[in-house]
Amino acid sequence: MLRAQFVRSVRPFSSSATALAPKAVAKGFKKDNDGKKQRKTTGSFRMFQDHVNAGQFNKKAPQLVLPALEHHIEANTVVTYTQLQKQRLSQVGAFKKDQFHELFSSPITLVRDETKQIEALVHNSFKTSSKENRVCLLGERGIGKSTLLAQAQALIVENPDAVMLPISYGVKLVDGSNDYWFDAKLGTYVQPMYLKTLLDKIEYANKQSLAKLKLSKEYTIEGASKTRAATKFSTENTLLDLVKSKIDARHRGQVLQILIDELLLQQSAPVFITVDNFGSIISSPNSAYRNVENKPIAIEELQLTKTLLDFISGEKSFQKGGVILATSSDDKPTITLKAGLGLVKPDPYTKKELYDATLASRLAGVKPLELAKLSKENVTKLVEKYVEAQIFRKDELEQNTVEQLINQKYVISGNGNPLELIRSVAMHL
Amino acid sequence: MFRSVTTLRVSTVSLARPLRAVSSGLGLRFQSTIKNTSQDEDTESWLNAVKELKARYQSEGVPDFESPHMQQLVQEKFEPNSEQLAKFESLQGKPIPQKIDSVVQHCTNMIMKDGKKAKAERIMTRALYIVRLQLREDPVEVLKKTLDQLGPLMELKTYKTRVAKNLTVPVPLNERQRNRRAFLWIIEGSEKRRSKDFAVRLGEEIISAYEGKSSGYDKRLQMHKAAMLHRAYIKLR
Repeated sequence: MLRAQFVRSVRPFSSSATALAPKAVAKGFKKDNDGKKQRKTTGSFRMFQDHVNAGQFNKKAPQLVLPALEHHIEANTVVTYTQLQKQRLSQVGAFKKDQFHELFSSPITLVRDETKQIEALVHNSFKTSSKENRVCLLGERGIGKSTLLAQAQALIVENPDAVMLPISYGVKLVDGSNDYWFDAKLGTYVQPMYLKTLLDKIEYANKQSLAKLKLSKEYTIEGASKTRAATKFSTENTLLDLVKSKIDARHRGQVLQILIDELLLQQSAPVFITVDNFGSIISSPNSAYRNVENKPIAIEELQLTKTLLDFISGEKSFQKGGVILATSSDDKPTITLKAGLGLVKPDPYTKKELYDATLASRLAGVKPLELAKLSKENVTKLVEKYVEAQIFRKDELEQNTVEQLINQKYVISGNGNPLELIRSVAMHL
Repeated sequence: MFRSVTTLRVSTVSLARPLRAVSSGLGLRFQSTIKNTSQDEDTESWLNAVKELKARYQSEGVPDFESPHMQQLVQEKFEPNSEQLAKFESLQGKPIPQKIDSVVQHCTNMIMKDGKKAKAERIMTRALYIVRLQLREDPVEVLKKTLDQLGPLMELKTYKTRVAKNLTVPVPLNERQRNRRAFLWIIEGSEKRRSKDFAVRLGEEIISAYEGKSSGYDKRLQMHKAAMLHRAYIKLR
């Protein structure tokens, strides 16, 4: 009996079982054979923020009659963007997901005192060099830094000659989320995938202005391999042709380099660099990328960040133009930024993670623009428009007069924080 | 005894390294005289002031410190003006408005797990925001109306008769009970939706229930049918 059990438990040595097994069918990534999508369940597949942003809910909102954001508009006016501005701003990523734009048929914005300051800077930039027009927007969470940047971009778009180089999320340049490689010809690390989206944005945002600018000399960019033909650009080609050209990913860094060089040479078009989430770029001297020795790559070694810092520091300057930076409360707070802008004097014993003197010195000459909280008059204007847009709850409107609502919301919003103001109206139980 | 030991120890140290100890001591003393001249002056002036005060209090007696301070602390009595009184009178009959609607609060508590109310509130707020965006109506009103539509009127309850057969009697539900059952069906329906975000699922389910498409309506119908079948057991007093 024992022997029988022992024999039975021994694994057979023959391979006939595996040999006779039916051949496995290779499965692809396709979900079903018919090519039709089978929905098991109903409803949106998105998370809240994306669902709200992509649901086109603004189409259901009541129409508001508002003036458009133009040059020389009065302060303390609630405005909307023109069709052109809206198109360009959404293409460059100026509208952020958490700005409650879906509540209104068209994004609305308030012209503040700071808007007039930025407007003056933009006007000055049309005439003077970018070195003279460098500004960094600062302020607490939800105070309207990104909105002010969008307003600046809207004013820039109004000028058909202006060229805008928009970086909508600065953090994406340094967080290691893109592919990268060392371009020996340029001597820097290039991020081809990010560059693709950036060049697309530049193309969409500046179609008219780039088409007017012709190349100053001939350029040749190599093909993907030795057998592929190189792409040549003559003096007849415009900068729009350059940006639109389908260059191999590995040589895309050269396209940006040529674009910057050409923009530096020309005199007719004012060129603007706009960066949101700038604080995350300046928060550390090193990026999250690693080199072949597994050591962090410095932000000065990355092509894009180095180019940005060159213009921010004033080392390079467009003959006409400006640099507008906006920080974000999501960025890692460091002393480097504030010390660079001359707002604080760093303690000599500050840790290196919090303060980098070299990096701070690159910010010398950038003017800080601290955004103040909204005044009571500002809140009044906004609340009136919110009532018009029917975003208040019925019971709130029934129990209070508009004046009482203004007083309540002014206090609840922390004495005039725009984000808290709209949250107190739209996002409370 | 103890004192003598300590003195001995000090003396041995000074004997072992006399020069260094003296030199370092001198250096320290020298530094302290440079740094603390202003501090010493301050201390002296303070001490002099204290001595003066002590002398004065001994001759004149200690003054009563409390009385002037207490007078300052006495506040003027608040007297409302006529306008404020009128407002007070007008608000007498009215209840203090609730911060959160009681129905919404009830539903939020049903979502809550492990006592995480803030998380439950965030989900509820977001769900109601989706309702507002989709329907462009007051979301709280929509929720209340939905619960009213969906909530069952009767429920079967089993009573033990202590004999062979148990009694199944239809019992009417109050508003809170009706809301509870309706919202639990809404939560159940939301679990079948696609999004990974509960707020999105819940918002969508509230909208479909408001439009009369929720699976909860079948359950409500079944409950009503069962109640009708057992209507003979209702005892009317």
